[in-house]
Amino acid sequence: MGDPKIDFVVPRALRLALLVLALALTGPVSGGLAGPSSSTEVGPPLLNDDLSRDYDGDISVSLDATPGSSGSIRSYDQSPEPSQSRTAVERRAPAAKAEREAASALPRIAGGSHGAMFDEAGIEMGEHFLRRLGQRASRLSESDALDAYRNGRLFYDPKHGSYVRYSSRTRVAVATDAPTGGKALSVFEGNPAARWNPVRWRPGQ
Amino acid sequence: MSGLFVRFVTSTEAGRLYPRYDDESGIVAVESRVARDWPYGIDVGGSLICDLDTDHVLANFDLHIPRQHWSRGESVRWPNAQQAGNLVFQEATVRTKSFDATVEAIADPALRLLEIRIGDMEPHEAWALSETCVALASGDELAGFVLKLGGDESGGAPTP
Repeated sequence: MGDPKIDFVVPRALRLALLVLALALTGPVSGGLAGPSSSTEVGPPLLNDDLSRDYDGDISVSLDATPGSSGSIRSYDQSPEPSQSRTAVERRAPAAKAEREAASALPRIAGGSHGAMFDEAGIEMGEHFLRRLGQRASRLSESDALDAYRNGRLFYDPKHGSYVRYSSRTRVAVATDAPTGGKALSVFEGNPAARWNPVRWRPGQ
Repeated sequence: MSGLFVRFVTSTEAGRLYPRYDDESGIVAVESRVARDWPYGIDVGGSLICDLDTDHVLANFDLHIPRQHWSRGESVRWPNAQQAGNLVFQEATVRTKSFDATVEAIADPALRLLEIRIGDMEPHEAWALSETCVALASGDELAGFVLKLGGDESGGAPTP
């Protein structure tokens, strides 16, 4: 003989469980599992997920450069043919990836890129300088380069028409395009060349 | 004499170097496409900066002579009878690091070829580091390079 209350209580608990489950599935997260029922929203969320996972950092450039685009990801949300938009982006994305690899030899440090100290100091840097700063990181540090730029002796190379800031302490040289406040063009280590002419310091240099 | 003692070994992708002219810096960069660490460097007169990998294989060199300071010469020729190889610097040269040898850049009138002369040696051997970069040697000393450039006014992209 079973207790009739049990027969009533169990189905009620089951109903409650089903209700909780239903709320969890269709709850406050709009665009979640309910999303696929809306054909206009299926494409873009997937697109954005893919991009943020594989091409973050570069994709904004690709999207901005797309003719006719307003320059925002939102414009893809409004596209009547999301599949075409996605194809277009995918076609562009490998190029961005290839560029990153070609920059090769740009061994950027995880969590930050080379040039942060120069950037913080407000010193303009050329792309070649940034590349070499990264590629030569195992034998010269950015702080040594910054020290050479700020405190190194200024030389003018009359043969090549260039300026070099050289630190005799670290033997690091930074080539620049101007005697003061110039853009950093390259960085290397070595000895001052015999033909380099020391430039006398003047106030403000 | 250049004082830069080298040897040539079997060519690999890591040792193949390709030139490009960087307009912003006025530097000719001749780089390997194989990204790796460059723990060793050699400076030649502040004009030629060489980067070597862990095996002392030349992985890159930068010519710090901007295009407007290249000499022009009809005699610049693409070397014949080349052998392919990787350029490896000898241990003593790697330890010395810095050399005072003169470096000259001489381009043909069309800016398609650029010869880099190191020191005053007459080169006797030519080793192809790639289709666009040849190393010149005199005995076991490095005497220079010859590069194929794009040939246009930008002097940039290597010829395929």
